[in-house]
Amino acid sequence: MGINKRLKMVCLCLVVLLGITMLGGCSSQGNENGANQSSSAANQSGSSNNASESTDTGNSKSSQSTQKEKTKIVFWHNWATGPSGESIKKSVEEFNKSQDDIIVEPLFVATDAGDSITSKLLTAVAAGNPPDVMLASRYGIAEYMDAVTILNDLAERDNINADMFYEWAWEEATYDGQLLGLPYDGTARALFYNKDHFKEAGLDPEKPPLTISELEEYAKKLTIRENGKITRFGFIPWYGEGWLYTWGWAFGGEFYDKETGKVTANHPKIVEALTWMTSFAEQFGIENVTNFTSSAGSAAMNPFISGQLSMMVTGNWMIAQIEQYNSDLNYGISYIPTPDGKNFTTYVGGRALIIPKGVKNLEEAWTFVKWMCTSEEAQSLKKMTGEFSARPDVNAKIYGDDPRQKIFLEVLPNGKHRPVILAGNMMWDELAKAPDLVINKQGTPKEILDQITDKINSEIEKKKRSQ
Amino acid sequence: MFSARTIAGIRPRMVWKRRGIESRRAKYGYIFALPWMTGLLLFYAYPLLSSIYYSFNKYNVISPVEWVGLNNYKELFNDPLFWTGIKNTLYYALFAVPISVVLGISLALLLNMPIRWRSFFRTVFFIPTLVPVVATAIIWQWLLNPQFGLINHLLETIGIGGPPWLGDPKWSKPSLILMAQWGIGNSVIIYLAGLQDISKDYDDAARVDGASGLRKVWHITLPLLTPVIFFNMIMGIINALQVFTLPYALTYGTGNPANSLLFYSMHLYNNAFLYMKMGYASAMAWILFIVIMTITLLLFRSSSRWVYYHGDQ
Repeated sequence: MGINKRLKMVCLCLVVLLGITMLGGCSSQGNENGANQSSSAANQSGSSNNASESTDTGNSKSSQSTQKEKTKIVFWHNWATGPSGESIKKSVEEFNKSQDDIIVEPLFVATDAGDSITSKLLTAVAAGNPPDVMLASRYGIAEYMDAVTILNDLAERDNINADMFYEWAWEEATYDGQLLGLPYDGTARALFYNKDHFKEAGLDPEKPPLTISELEEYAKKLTIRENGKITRFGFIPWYGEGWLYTWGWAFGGEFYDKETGKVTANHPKIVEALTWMTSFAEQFGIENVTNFTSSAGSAAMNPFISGQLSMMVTGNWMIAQIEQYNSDLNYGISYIPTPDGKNFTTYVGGRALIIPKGVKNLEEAWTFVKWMCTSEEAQSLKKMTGEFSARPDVNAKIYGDDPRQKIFLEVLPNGKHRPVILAGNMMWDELAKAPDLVINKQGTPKEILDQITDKINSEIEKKKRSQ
Repeated sequence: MFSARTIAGIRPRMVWKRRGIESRRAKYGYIFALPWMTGLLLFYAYPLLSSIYYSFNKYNVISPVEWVGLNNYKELFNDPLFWTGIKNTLYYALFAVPISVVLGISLALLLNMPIRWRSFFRTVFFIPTLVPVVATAIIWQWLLNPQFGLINHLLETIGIGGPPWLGDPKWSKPSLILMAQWGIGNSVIIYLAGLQDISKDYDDAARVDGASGLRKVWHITLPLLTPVIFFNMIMGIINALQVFTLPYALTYGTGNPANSLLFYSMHLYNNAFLYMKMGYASAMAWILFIVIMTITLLLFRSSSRWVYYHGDQ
């Protein structure tokens, strides 16, 4: 009897302990997944970077020990490997060479889910030990404004203003007139198409589709069925970078009303875009499309690179990937089609460099941020990643003679950025899910977008009330 | 203690001495346990208790804390994703736990038989639990890939067109339940230990009485295994209600398709660490705690009716 009682007690104790670990252990559970970065995060930034920080910190530590009298600036970034990681390393090296009093120590800090401001930064700021500078996606900074130093005064003092940057870059770094960070770079999207497939299907490889109806027609011609199974898709609207943002803007929709300060994700043109995206999938059979998209791989296994997909909307960084994995691919780049074949636009993302609140070396941090974002030297290094500088004049210099970048450079000034709101992360997640919810019959496009709009607006209201 | 007191009546001086040694020893015990206790208080008790407080506040780590009373809880009940999370989680627990109990016991019974290569088979069934969950997720993503996956390929060879598995909201949860059984090795080990704990005498007696193998299992082995089943069931339910890593790694936190893999803990995690709604997430954690506690207590209540301990009547 005694043993049984004890066994029961042990059991009960274990239950309570487990309960406790569950409550206290949320964050550690999260860390387990830290290594596995969110695909949407990778897509948002255009380059996935999961690897160790060893190389970065190793180098800078050794250089730091030799020059102790310099002010050390800690720079958090989430680009460890590949061209992105190289570009950070190179930028920091160049900066350190040019400075006598400042030394920057880059530190790789993995993102949690999105690639904007992370919980790690917030806890660091709350603990009074923030990094001096951090690289973060612009769309998600506004909701954590309390964690950043507003840069208006510094920018004004040093004559840094909107004219130096693309409109989208500067605007996306500003909330309600307050400069949250300096825009660092940009990523843009366009239609990539396989010229060989075009020839096979009897289409002119120099005449990519410009209107939505042409796109549909071409997609049908390019799709190949064998024994009832689709072996090659002409096009899948949301594959790659075909987010609802991308198509919403292509259809002429607006996600945000500046006058009222409200999100308008249920804008009629956006509803139209979502309706088109999902009905397009229905024409080919939802199951076929789902099978295809959930089977598709990334990098070398990307279906466009491996020739299983004839057209896709994707970002400029894909140029480098195609070169790396299948340099023989005969492809072209064109505008993202619009309903009337005019007013081409592109969805532009990108990062800013922010200075967290409470940094000890504000002036030195600002010097670094300023150099990274405005100097031609630093901005030209964006060429390494294949992404764009936030400054039009630099892009013209580094990409002006590259025919593949022609379309991008043409649409960039007209680029659209995600609204700068207090619930940018949530809006991103909700809109990313919308096509999936519609094709799985969870509601009509209008219903789903109405729900999302209400949810985001009430979330913003709640946050505003407490400010 | 007992022996000390008996001696106490006879030789008081000796006892005094002993108590001195004991208390001196106890002091070292406490000193050595202190780091652990500090850690427990600091990193478990404090966050745990403060999360009660934060569940009544708006809190995002960085901005000032603002008291909102029961608003977080009220808001939760109006959050469709909260209910989606609950539905998905209960669905998962309802199927995953019984399946793992039945499968676990069956495997343990098989692995307890005197067969050739027994320790080899035992190892084989345990190995998958050594694979990190995230790796498991990726392996299964490949296996269940609707176009190139091994499983659909095998189904096709016997003339069945496989479902889209993780791509279809109807199939996604069953797929996950299937994957979760991959990590059954741990409970099999516990069942095996339980089986080996059962005295051979019962078995011999039953054989003398002419009982068949199946009847022996049903009437002797299973009743005597009930404490272990009980233990595994409770652990299984707690783990199932907190299911996180596998679906999070599979869907990158989105819960796709159509929120069918959005489990309660994932919604909690997203709110806490993606949207920084710490107060809201704390409220979610406490609701989950209450649900788990209730279910566990109910199971404990029921246990007197079906759990038999060695030596009980």
